[in-house]
Amino acid sequence: MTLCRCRCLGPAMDGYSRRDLLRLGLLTPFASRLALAKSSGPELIVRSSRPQDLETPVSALTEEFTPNDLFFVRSHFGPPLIDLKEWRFEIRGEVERPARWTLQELQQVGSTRRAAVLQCAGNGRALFNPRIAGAQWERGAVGQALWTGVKLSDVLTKAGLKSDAKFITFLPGDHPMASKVPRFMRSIPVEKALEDVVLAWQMNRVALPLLHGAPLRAVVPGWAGNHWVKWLRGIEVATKEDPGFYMQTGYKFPTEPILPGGKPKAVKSLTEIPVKSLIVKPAAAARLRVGNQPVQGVAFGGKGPIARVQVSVDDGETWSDAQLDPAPVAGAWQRWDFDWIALSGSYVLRARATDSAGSVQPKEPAWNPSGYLYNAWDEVHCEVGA
Amino acid sequence: MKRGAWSIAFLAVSCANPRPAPTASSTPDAGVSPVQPAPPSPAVASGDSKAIPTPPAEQPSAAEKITYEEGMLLQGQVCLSCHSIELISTSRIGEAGWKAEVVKMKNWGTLVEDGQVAPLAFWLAVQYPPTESPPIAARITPAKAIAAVTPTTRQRVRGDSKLGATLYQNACASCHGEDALGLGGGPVLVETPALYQPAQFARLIRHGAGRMPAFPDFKQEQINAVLSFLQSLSGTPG
Repeated sequence: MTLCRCRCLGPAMDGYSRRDLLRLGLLTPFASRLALAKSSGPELIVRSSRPQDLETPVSALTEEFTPNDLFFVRSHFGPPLIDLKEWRFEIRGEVERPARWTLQELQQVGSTRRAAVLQCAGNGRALFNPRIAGAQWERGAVGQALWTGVKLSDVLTKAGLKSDAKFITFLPGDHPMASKVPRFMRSIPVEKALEDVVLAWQMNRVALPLLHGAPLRAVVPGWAGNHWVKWLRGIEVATKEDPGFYMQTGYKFPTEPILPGGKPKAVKSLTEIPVKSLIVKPAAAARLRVGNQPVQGVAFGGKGPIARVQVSVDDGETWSDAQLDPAPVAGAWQRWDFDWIALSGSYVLRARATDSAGSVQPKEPAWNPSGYLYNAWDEVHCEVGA
Repeated sequence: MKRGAWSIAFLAVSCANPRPAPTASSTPDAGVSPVQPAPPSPAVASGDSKAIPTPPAEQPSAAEKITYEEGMLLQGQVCLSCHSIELISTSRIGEAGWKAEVVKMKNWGTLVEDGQVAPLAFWLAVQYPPTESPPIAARITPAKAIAAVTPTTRQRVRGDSKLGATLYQNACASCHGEDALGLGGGPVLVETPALYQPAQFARLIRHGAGRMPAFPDFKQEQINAVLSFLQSLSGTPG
């Protein structure tokens, strides 16, 4: 057993550094503040400063759980500062027993804990060509957290679904910039709501931070981030999905592949994240020493667990299998690594994942007019020298 | 040429150039339809981003109607009252793309006149050309990102909210809306974290920011009154 160097914790915990524990909030706030003041750690990448759209540097995704303060932030309108004394979770629409619960009352309905990957629908938008309007996310609008909350199925059971209930619309707490701007309303089908959706009040075992949706957010495993509505004030159980902009016009994806720059004939709402892998080590533009250089990353999305991850060190000419961790739970990522004996030279590393249904990450992304769901082979350039 | 898919390609114009150079159509429309068809214009040698193209012979382009300074002003008034500059300057979407975005925002209440849409879209497309990579993004420490939305106090301010309501209606409502839910001129103020950052709030009122004018004569008591009124407003599940 190894001892933590600073002796604060006694035995060091496998796989977690002191810094991880600080980030996860497992040490006291006082100790945490001291540590933050001393370290000049990694920084977030600013895609928009008002409201905040902040991207995680990919090199910060090496752990199973992404630290809260480095977790990417996507805001449609920015956080509302909700007074918890007045906040109620409202359940209305096609239910037998409409309700208005305090957070405590909601927490008494049940509690569960689940690892799940959150990826912005627009992650990778900046990598499409031609370019597309919107936040110019590169590779880091993704992360995994351990979410604590109540199963939406338990909430719906308690409220009593009426037989014509087809959709659950999340009622968001954020206010649009102006009163004519549509509210960020998203609906999910009842089947998905009953399957595995969680309404979370904790992120990595601490209270949900304001930037991530305090006091309550939706966790929709396997589905893109646009469904994970933050700052929830309630749900509406409905016979139809929300008629507003963000369901009817936003977050649509071509039903058939189109040429880059083209216009789709028909579109559908995007839901599941397609199969994807990400190289987190080495970092982009890294300068490495000759010798044993681990290539590491994560893989997620697609149907069922990720079945295979392959790595290429010659820009996709030849591929080798990486060692892949088993899937802990649907919607979580699987970590992988590959032993690379690096000789001196310039390299383009690539990774591609295959899901349980046999879908493979494509060489070229599926260009679409809003730049959603980028999942082409991941790419990292690096130099190896003596 | 992959970039041929753009309906209109733009030449880079350096910031030092006070008048954006006019554009040239590069290839036939490959899917994105401009609101108005671009006039036919001579092809322009690509590759040299500093080249000034020959202006189209017929039909003066929107460039004739907007100067660099006018564009800066419009961008500030139309775009930057709700968006920060990063979102604008990193979008490389061409004139048709910008036109679509500006029209969308106009429909959502942004205060922009019909006659300003085309010149603004043109200016944005020249200023942020698809042929050039966007600037390298800024970085922010997690502590600073969190501080931006973290209250410096949880206490409600002691102020005369009735007086605040009156002051608000006189000084603020024309841009932020009578209900403070935002109009095209100014953003929503209900439940924003800024209401619990009183020192910054006072500075904002006294000095203004971007499109927001300064109110240097506001006394602390009046600022507290406005703050007290705004803190009394709460959101609904809508």
